[in-house]
Amino acid sequence: MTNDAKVKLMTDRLAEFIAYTAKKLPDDVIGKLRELQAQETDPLPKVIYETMFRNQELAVQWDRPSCQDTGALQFWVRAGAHFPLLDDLADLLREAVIKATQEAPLRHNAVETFDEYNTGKNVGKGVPTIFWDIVPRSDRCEIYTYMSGGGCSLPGHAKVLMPGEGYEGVVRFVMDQMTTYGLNACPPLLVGIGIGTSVETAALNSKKALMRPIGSHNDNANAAKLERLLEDGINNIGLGPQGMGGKHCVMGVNIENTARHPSVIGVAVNVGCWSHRRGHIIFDKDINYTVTTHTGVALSC
Amino acid sequence: MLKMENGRKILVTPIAADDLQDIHIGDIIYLDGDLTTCRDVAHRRVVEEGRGMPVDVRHKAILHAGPIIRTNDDGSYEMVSVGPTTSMRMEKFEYGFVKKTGVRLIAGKGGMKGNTERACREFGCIFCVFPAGNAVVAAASVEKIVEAQ
Repeated sequence: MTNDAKVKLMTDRLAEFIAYTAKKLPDDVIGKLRELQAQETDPLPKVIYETMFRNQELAVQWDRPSCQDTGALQFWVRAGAHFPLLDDLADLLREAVIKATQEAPLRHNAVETFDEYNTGKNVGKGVPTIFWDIVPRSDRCEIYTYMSGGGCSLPGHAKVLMPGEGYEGVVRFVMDQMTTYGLNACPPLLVGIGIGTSVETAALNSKKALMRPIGSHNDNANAAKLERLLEDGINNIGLGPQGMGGKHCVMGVNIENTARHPSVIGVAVNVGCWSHRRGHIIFDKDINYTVTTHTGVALSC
Repeated sequence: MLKMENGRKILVTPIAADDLQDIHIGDIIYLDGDLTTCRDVAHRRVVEEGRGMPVDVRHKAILHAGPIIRTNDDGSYEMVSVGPTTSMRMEKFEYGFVKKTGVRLIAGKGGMKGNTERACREFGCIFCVFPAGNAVVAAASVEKIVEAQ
């Protein structure tokens, strides 16, 4: 295949996958929602879950975005250093978003700042967001796709604490944010927490935390313990699904951590809503693909 | 008008203040009639700029929403996906909005605070939530899009 043919194939496949993720939730999210549904006993949370599952069925049946806020598109790209399309990746990701927007259809969610106009194409300056990791000695390209909507983005917060505040300070920061904003972000939520050396490293970690499967735990025993404690703590706020009261308002808490300067501890909280439209697709050098987040994806191109 | 049908409370636009008397926190209610989507810019326009809206929502209902709409070949519109947006963004304008427009029902997502509560008490209005992210269920209930601006 020529380079141009590969670029076209990858663009088309990505566009179709992005549109797909707007309509069908990842397996782990559906599994967790069913688990949480089974544990609710009051009538109002039960009605909410029934509505959610009916909605997801209709979205697939009618081939429509399950939530009207199809978000600002974000990609975390783990590109192999020897992946053949490195030169073209940024442009093709953008083209894939434009194409998916027309075909799905997705909502136009790119507003240029300062000039304050909607671009009408769902792309703009720096949107789609692309986070890059280069993977040495690899010719594959792994892409996490994400629809970052208004609801889940609003509670995002990052701060640098003094180490004297300790991990208790981290807990207080997370709980304050969740009690104030959790309700508006469409619970049950996936809570991503980043710990790092500065405001932006903590924030990036918190986003990467949201890309991890629900039910996964941090490798570090202390971090994993904090994940479980926070999950219990936030559930005990009692918001329930959609804030209508109930046993669980959290699908999970994922912490991603990197080392810190001795004098600071950076913490960030980032959430995914119940309609956590995260995808994970891996392309090899011939643009064959594997999807890990959704079973049964068969792209037409 | 408020009607009871198969044990369901159904508000039908136009809605009188009295229709809201027997609705309580935790009730599930249904809406029939006219609904207008209205979020950030529409609220600012009415409250901060003192301008009217192209649609009269007096005694009717609004939905805090930014839907996905498709234009058909004959120029008519199809509701693809519509769900509520975060209502808290409209909280600072909601008292002024209800006072000026006379809207009776505001549907949204998440909670509201003191301004909206005051407006509801003073002017006869209720705030309800539609389960968020259920935009196809909601689209299925839209009979017709009368106009889109």
